Amino acid sequence: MVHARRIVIDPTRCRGHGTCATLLPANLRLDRWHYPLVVDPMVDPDDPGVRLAVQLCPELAFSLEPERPGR
Amino acid sequence: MLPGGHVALTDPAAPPTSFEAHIELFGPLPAPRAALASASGIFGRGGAGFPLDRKLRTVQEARGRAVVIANGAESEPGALKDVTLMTHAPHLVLDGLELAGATLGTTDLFVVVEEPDAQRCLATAAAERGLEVEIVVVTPHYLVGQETAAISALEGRRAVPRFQRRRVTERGYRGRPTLVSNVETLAQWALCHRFGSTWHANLGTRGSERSSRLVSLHVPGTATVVAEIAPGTTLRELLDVVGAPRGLVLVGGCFGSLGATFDPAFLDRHLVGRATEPDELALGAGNIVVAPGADCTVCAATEVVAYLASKRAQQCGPCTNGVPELAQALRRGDASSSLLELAGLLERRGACALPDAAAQLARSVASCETALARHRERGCHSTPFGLSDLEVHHGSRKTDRH
Repeated sequence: MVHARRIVIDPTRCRGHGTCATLLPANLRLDRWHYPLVVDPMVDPDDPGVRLAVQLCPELAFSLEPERPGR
Repeated sequence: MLPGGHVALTDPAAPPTSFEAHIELFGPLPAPRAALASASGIFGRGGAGFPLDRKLRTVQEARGRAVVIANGAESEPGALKDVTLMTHAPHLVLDGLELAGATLGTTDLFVVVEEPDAQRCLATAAAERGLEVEIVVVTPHYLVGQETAAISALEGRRAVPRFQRRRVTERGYRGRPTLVSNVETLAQWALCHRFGSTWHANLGTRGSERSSRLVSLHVPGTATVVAEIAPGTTLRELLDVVGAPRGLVLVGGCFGSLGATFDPAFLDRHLVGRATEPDELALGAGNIVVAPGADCTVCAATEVVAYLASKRAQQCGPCTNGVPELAQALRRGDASSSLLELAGLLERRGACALPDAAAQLARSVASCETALARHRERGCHSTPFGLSDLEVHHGSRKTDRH
C-alpha cells in the first residue's frame, strides 16, 4: 500500500451495528457482543470498502487516523 | 522529611503550612526550568506514570494558549495521599502549578479536587501568595480523575472519559493544549527547582526511582495512613512500620498488583512508580489496600473487578458488557482459558483504561490454576477489601483520621 492508514474506532460512539466488519472482513471481526475487533488496523484509504465504512457507520464512529507529515 | 528510616508517616492532625513558613523553609520560588523535568526523570504520580518532560514539551510545541490542570482527584479506593498533600502542604502544589504556568506562558491554572477541605486549603494558600487559580470541586467518582473526564468536568460536561484522536496535550480543555498533572508530580517538580534535579539522591536511588513518594495505605476498619517512602522501600518495610496486619494486598489500586503477605517474594518487592524489574511493584496512583486474614486471591480479584464494573461510564460496548461478565467468571472460578479470552476482549477497547485494569486482574488470577481450583472447591464468596465501604468513608474522611 502506498499510504496505508490506521483504522480508528471511537468506542464511545460505536453501537455494534457491524457495518464496518461486513465491509472489511480482512481487517475486522465482531466479538461475542457484536462489537468490532481490529484484526489488521492498516488499510488503503482509497479502497472503496474503506471509504464506505467511514461513510456508512451509523454512529460516525469509524474513521482513519489523520495523516501526520513527518511524524 | 525522612528521618533516618525509609518510611515517614504523615501527621493527620498537622495544620497546613502557611506561605510564610513555606518561604522560610524553602526560600523564594526560583524561575521555571522545563529542562529540570527531564534531568530529574520525573514521571507522573497519578497512576499512568507518563514522563513529565514529554508532556511539557508537547504542550509547549502545540498551537494555542496552554492550560494547566493540577489533578487532585485521586478517586482510587483507599487513596488519600493527594488530599493529604493538598491539605498539609498546599504551597508545594501551588509552587508546581505556578512554575508550570510560567513555563507554558499561561495564567489559566486549575486544580481539580473532590474534597471541600482540599479546596479550602488551596484557596487560602493561593490568596496568601496572590496566585490566581481556579480550584474546582468535582463530584467524587472513580472515573473523575481520568484526565479527559477531569477536563470534561471543568468544561461543565458529564465527567466521564472521552475518546480523542489527539492527546490532551495537543487538544484538551476547550480544544487548547492542556497539561494535566497529578498534584504530587507538580510538587516534586517544584522541589527539584529549589534543590536541583538530583537533590533527592541523598535518599539513595533505585533504578529509575530517584525520589521519595507518597503512599496511602488502607486497612478496612481503620484510618487510612499516608506515608512518605524512600526509593526502594519494600512492601514488607512499609507494612511493618505502619503495623498493618497480614493478608491479601492490592498494590497500586484497581490497576495494580494483587498479592499475599504469606508470599515472601511479593512482600520483599520494592515499591516503585513504574516496575521494570521482577522484584518491583508498581505503585500506580500510590494506594495500597490490605485485606487482613484473607487468603483467596480469586475472591479478591472478583471484588475489585466487580467494583470496576460498578464504576463503568457505560459508554463503550466491550467494557459495558465485558467487565461484569468477567466479574461473574471470576466469582465462579472459571477456567484460565475463559478468563484469558475475556481479558483479551477488554484490552484497549475502551475510552479509558478501566477495562484494561479488569483484564490485568483476570490475567494475574488466570496464571494460578491452583487458586482457581481451590476457590471453586471451597465455594468462597467474600469481599476481602471492603471497597464499597470505602465509598461511605469518602464523605467522612476527616473523622477517619482520629
